[in-house]
Amino acid sequence: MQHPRDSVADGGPDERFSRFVAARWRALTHTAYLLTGDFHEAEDLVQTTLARVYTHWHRVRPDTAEQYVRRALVNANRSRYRKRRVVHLLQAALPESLAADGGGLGAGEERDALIDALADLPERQRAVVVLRYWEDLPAEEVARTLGCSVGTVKSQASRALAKLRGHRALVGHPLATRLGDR
Amino acid sequence: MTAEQDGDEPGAVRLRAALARSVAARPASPAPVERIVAAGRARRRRRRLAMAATAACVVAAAVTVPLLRSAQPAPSVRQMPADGTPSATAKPTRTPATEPVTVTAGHGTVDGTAWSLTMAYYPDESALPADLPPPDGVPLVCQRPVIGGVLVDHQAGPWAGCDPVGGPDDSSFGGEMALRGLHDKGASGTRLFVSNTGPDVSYGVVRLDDGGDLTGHAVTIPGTSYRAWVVAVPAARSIVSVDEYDSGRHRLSHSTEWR
Repeated sequence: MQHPRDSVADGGPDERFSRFVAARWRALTHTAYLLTGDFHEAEDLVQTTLARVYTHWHRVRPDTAEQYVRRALVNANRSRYRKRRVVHLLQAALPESLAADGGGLGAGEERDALIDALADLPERQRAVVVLRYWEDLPAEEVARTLGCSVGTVKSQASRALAKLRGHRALVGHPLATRLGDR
Repeated sequence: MTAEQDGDEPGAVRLRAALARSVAARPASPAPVERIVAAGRARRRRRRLAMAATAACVVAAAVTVPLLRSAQPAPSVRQMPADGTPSATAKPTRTPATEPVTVTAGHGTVDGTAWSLTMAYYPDESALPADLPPPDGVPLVCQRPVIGGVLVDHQAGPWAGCDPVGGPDDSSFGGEMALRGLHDKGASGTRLFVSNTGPDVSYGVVRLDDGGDLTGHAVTIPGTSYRAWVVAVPAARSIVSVDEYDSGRHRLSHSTEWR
């Protein structure tokens, strides 16, 4: 089935898909990096997600393609997270803290500390933080992506920010203080 | 990054800036478009082969089953689970390519209130109800938890609890446990504990703080790989642990983070 918007000039679904991948690859990889905390894993996740999306791309409406792929990415990460849940729990129990080094965190360390802190959020809270504050999506769109209510998104965002403020990796770090400011 | 929006949590602007700094240090590789398209094509070929094999099995079953039925007495009545936990009744309502496939993953009564969890698979657009706005995409897997006649998260619209998937066996879907309830985001009141499981899980056991166990048996949406088990947690009880087992009663997972 060819979508009405796939004109001959567009080259059909395959070309539309290739253009979409080329245009969105970087942004999707960055989102996946914040969801996974590992850049190589992020690229694998995006590749796997896009390959799956390709198989039914002809059914995806162009005006909802972005939301569709984003949702597929979140679902794929959810599955990855479940499989690696034990590893995540073990990592959370390690007494490792960037703040334990004695402070003085530079910009690079802030990045690592933030990724560490994100890693300790429950999967859904982390997804809410990434979609709401990185993708800059309105709460309604985040709710649609995660398949929950707007109220759930707001409460999860609030709880996630509270956890980040008090996270051990950010103790003494300016970001933890700043998260309490407006 | 945009300016802070109304209703944002305190510190949201700072967090946006920090997230931007985190990803800025990670320049993405060039988009591997050809590799992704090649992987997608290979996946599509595998799906078509699998569908052809499934179709062949269906044809074979359609021929074989009537022959067997004509040669055997009427089948016995399906037995209820011995432990009295929620019954799971598969009632596929499928007609070729135009109807969703639905199954009741579990139902019963808790706190004097009826509850149920229905799962549905919409294979294509023609299976969607005509009177509803279209979802983001199809195929679609939906879970509809109902407590006391009220659909949980109904405020999120008609497709709340639905996820687009890549077909009847999209391995990227599932793997999540969740507490679903009508109050306080599933943290209080009568709640349903739902686990979207893989093929290896046969049943799950939720241990409550009074020492009681609730057992839910995994149910599969017919014709798909999507499975779930569910139990109803009474309002006055909290969860101590959640275990999942295979058909040989070997424990596959143990979680204690649920309350």
